[in-house]
Amino acid sequence: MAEKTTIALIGNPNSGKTTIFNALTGSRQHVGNWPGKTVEKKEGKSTHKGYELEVVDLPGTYSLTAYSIEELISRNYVVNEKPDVVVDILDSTNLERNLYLAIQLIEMGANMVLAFNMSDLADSEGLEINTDLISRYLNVPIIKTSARDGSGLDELKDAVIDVLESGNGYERDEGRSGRPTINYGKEVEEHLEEFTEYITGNIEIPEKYNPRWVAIKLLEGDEEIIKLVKELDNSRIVLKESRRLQNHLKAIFGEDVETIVADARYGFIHGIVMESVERKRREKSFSDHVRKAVSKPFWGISLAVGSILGLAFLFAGGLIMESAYGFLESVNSPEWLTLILADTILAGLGAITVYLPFMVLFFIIYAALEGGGVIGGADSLSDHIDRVAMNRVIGIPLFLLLMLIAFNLTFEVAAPLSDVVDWFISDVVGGFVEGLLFSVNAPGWLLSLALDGAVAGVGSVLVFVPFIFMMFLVIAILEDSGYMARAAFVMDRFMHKIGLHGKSFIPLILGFGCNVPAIMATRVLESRKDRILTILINPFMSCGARLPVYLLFAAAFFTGSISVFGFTVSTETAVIYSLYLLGMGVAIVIGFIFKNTLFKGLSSPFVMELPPYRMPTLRGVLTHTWERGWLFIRKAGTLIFAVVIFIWFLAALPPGVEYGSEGSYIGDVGKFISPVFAPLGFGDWRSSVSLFFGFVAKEVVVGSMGVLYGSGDVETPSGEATLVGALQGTFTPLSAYAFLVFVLLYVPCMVVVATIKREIGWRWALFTVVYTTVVAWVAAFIVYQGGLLLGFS
Amino acid sequence: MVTVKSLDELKPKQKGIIVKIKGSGATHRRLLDMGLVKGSSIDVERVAPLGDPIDVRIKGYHLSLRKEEASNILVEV
Ligand SMILES: Nc1nc2c(ncn2[C@@H]2O[C@H](COP(=O)(O)OP(=O)(O)OP(=O)(O)O)[C@@H](O)[C@H]2O)c(=O)[nH]1
Ligand SMILES: [Mg+2]
Repeated sequence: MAEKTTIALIGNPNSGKTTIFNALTGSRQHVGNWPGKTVEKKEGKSTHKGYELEVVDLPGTYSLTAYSIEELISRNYVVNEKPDVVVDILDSTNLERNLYLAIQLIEMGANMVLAFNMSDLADSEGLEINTDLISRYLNVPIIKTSARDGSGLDELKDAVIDVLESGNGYERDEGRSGRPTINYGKEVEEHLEEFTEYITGNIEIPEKYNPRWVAIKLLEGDEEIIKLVKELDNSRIVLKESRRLQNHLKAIFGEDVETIVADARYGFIHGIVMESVERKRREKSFSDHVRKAVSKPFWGISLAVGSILGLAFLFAGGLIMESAYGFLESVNSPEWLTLILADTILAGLGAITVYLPFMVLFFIIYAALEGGGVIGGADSLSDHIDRVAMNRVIGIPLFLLLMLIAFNLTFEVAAPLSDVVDWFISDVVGGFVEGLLFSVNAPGWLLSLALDGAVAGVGSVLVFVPFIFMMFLVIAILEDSGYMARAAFVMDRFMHKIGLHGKSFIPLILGFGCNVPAIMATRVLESRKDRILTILINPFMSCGARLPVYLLFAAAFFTGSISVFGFTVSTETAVIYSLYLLGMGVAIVIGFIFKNTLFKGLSSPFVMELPPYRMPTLRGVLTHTWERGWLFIRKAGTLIFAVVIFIWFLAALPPGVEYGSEGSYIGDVGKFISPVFAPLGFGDWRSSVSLFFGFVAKEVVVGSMGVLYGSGDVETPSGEATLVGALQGTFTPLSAYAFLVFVLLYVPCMVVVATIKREIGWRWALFTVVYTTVVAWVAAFIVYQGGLLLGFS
Repeated sequence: MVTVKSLDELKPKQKGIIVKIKGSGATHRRLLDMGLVKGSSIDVERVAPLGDPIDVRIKGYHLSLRKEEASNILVEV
């Protein structure tokens, strides 16, 4: 018979809970190499030996006394919901700190299993962990796992079932389980025992709580337990007794109870670890690490081939491309094939591999410096990397350079892919639909609905999907490598100066992908003020959905190249960068203003773990990218499709009106709002309409322009070129730039607004809608009118 | 010779043994929970490029904290 049981996965942040959860349940929750990736409780199902297991993945937490809201979720779940079995997942390379939570769970009396995860890393670091010994000390089953390759998971499930069947936690009617209790020393123990009796004698604590644990927690001053006790009859005298004892112990030890308790727990753990973990210390030089890495055939060969390709592209990139084009022409390859083979694959490979020779050069210099004794050895590869990545002198320039390279790659690789998609949609799909409709003698309006509406509207959005994918890919790699936490570390001082927090930096970067997960990620911030502030400025981080608008306008108005600090860059790229930078600049200024008006007061402390760097897994990065990217495609096929069709109808009605003319309904709407935008340089009614519907999703700005500007000429395929031509007739470069500034800053899409409401309430959501729009209007006004004054047009 | 200093006074590559964490409240507790307890050895690994926060190694892992928090941590050098 299948029984339904809940299994909770808890553990320190970044110990691999979500990875194990995914392996157990077949889910695809996102993992990332920084503490605080999971911020919500997630559920999934797994079956083992006839049991149906309801597995719950929890946010990471260092202790059962929570510090931030995502930790509180975990704490409340294991304490109050009492899952049938608690699986505590530990990072074996960091046992001492990870056991601290385990000890607390043991004290609480949970039915539990310990998973010593990341055992692959522990092995390679030369750690020898005697799990049998630890298991005997703690009287809890311990299973070694390595979630990445799935080893140990079956044993883990077996152990869970064992515990499920026999139970190993605290049950009131059976008295103490065979678990060790941490001895807090004679003096404390005596008081603890008395106090426990005092509690059971005076208040009715619910069955599920272990009285000794409640006593400890009260003495520790745990707010959640105090809250719980407060609701019971007679609580006042118990709380009073607790305060008396706290003062008494403080007077004796000269230290508050939380310190005494933490000292004792860590002391206990230290004892265990000293006896059961042996570290074969192996300091490794950087060249050793590299040698080991490249001795794996895959990495070795990739690096060698990549570097050679990179060198070739560095010195003869033009030549390679020309000969490729020449060859393809000579074999009469059709345009689309050239687009895919030469522009996408070959040029893309080139764009990526040119960085490899520099990397190798850098490795060689570093290894040489190390060999020459200029820099000493370090324990792990992470330490080597951090020496460079967090170096006082090159840390920040390197960070900026990495960002620049990441963005550059995004554009370079995605641009040709986008051409492929454009070709596919306008020539293949558009041509097919047109041909089909002509062949059945479809009426003109249907033709217009299909081509002007569906194909032009949805197509103009889909064209930019490759950019969005690349953006997510870059972010996934950043997240998975462990660099995010470093960025927070490096930027904390700066963020602190402008009134934010180093940890705010991670959500801000995630915002470049999509503001929705970015806003969720602010849960790692402990202080509510920091959190609200970070959420409020997050929409200024230009998300992937805004990119299509920039790309479209850049292609229409900002071709050519300009010179920046002696480098020649394409105007298109420069304009797009400038928008991203503007968004960040506005976020900083607004953050600063809010900090000094709405959120006066001290900012909260910065205490954050820096996880070791890890090689991102191909699978992790790809699922991450695919899922987020797929959302965009799906959105284009559903929401955006619907809006675009809606707009087409408004543009075609009332009956008899010329499609997309001012006399249509949509014309009325447009003319009604356009005066607001006139001072900003884009008073055209069609762009006003597109901004209005852009609230649904920012890609709609492009989609609805596709519908409205492409009007009239059904005969020509509705590719990007038509739209570009139409825009050139309506905007000037200056008004186009003002328009982009407005799109960057104005009200975030409705999903973001809904997320803000869910996270911090509808007042703040409403506030965001209003203030961002005001900021956008003012900024676009300054750009346009200022530009006019300066003589631009 | 043994001297007691606050953690923020240590230079990169210096190490010490924790003797006391001053203060109280949530941050104090967090530091305890993260393993900054009496008797633990702590190494200052580096200072962030902008001069704050610092990166320390405690119980075998890396922790970053601001100098402000570090000034509450007394260590024996
Ligand atoms: N080498 C190795 N890496 C692992 C293992 N388990 C997880 N990882 C990696 O560790 C990182 C963190 O994994 P997650 O599953 O996101 O950790 P988490 O415990 O859910 O983290 P939070 O949600 O932040 O609390 C990811 O980069 C994983 O790929 C393992 O057994 N071995
Ligand atoms: Mg997780």
